[in-house]
Amino acid sequence: MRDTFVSNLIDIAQTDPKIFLVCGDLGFNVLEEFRDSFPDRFLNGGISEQNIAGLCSGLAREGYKVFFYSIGNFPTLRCMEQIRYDIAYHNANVNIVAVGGGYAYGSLSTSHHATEEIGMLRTIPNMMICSPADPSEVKDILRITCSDSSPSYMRLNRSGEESIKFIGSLKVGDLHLAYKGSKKSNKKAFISNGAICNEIYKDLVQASSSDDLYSLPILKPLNKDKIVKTLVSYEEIIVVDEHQLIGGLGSTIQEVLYDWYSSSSKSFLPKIFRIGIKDTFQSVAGTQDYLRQKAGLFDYRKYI
Amino acid sequence: MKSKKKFLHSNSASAALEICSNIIKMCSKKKAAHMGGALSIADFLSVYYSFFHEELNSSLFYSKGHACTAIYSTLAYFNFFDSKELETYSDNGSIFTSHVSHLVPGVEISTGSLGHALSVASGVAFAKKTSQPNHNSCIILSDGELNEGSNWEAILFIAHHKLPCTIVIDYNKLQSFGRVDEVLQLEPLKQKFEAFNIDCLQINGHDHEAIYNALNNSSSNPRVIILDTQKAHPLKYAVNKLESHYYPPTAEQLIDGLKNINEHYERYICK
Repeated sequence: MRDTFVSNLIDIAQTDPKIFLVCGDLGFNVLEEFRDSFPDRFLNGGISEQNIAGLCSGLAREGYKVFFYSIGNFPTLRCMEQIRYDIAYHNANVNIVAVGGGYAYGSLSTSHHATEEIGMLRTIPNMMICSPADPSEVKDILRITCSDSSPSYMRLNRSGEESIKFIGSLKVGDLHLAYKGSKKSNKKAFISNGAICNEIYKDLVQASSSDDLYSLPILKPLNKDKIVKTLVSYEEIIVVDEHQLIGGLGSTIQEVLYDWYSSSSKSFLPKIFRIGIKDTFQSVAGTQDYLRQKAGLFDYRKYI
Repeated sequence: MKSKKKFLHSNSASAALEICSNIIKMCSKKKAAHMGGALSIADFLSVYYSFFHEELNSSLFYSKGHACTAIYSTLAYFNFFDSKELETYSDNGSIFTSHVSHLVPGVEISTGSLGHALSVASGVAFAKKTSQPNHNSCIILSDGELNEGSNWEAILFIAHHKLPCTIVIDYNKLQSFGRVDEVLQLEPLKQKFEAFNIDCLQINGHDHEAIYNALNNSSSNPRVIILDTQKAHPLKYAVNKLESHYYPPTAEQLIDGLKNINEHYERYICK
């Protein structure tokens, strides 16, 4: 996903002179090509995310479409107030892109686990929040953020994620069908996003599952009517999120469905089972899969 | 930045008289706080807008957003909007919020959370360095605000890239809940900026001619101007008092205050 982001940003920057990339002193073996191709539109702002978030807002004032690239918590939690006030309140065209979503940097420890940032950023007005599941969604989201002037956040994993054979195209705020089960009765659906959606996809394909899988690559803004229309045809929904349960994808789906249920005359609501991080930190070393296992994120397999 | 106008004390003193009077009237009428820090920067704003502000070649970023009555009164005096509009200050539905709002004509960015404007201005200055080499960004910070670490990140950045920024510190030596030297000592302040490789001047922040001379410099290097100021200047009852950060003037203090302001500035104003 990371390499797809950079190579596509380079492609777009060839024809769009307003693309500007800022990093917080990282990107070794990743950002060199952009830096060397567009030296006037690349800036290493140093290890100073608060200042970078503010100066990105300043660059956006001057007409640039700014991309602020860093690892997990640094361009997000470390400068949350600058994002809220300097970027979102002023509706500045700043697109934050973080690598290392969830436990992607497993052994690097809690400092590098990005497991709360979506919940926090989701509450900030004007922000578009994205968590693509595979390289094709990265490409689509990048195209959308480059043509939309509002600020955004995109969570990436690392590299090497497989492609998902999506059915239909990605639409802002709507579910993106990743796997269609064989049964007609539509009893059970999985909803996920980010790299763990890729894991569920592989499991369902391997099991020739009769259930469906949706990605929700853009969590905000949401097309609530379309989501409700799709989901009310299921009896059970399993939401899987490599993020704290509080404020994450499961909360998002519950909010949408329960708000709809409360304001409609319908007497049926699908059961929603939420799988996510249970208000804990992971304080031991381990690979991404080890930490996912330890946090109970693979519990979705019980439902396959 | 270089002024195209000659220094005329009468001009900036007339502005300051009006701006200071308006600040204390606004604070009195709306029972608003932050009068002291608004008055301490009023002389600088009067000089800057009288002689230096150019629509296309300069941007003023006002980081001490709590002292909004000073910038609102200044922009009203210099006709960025009809001063009548200011009467809605802090009322329900007004764009004149009690920390600076970018919805107000002439305001670059909203401020109120401290330690933000210098970073945003550095991004603007970075972009303009190539697109508009004659542009100068002036950023006004409070002294207490220098407690915020983000400012020092921005100062590193501005110094490294030699951005054409004039950083102005309103050094009135009183912050929110104590004296600067008892909360978090800033001294030696001038030497701190010089250690970042930024030229630094320290002047009397109520001396209009000194402010004019400090600003009137064609260097495109980053510069810091430390203004030695007094909170609530020139109100005799409130000057250098922490209370002026909180209490609006009573009816009696308003009358005395307006008298002090008139006495202080009228000597410079040509009749």
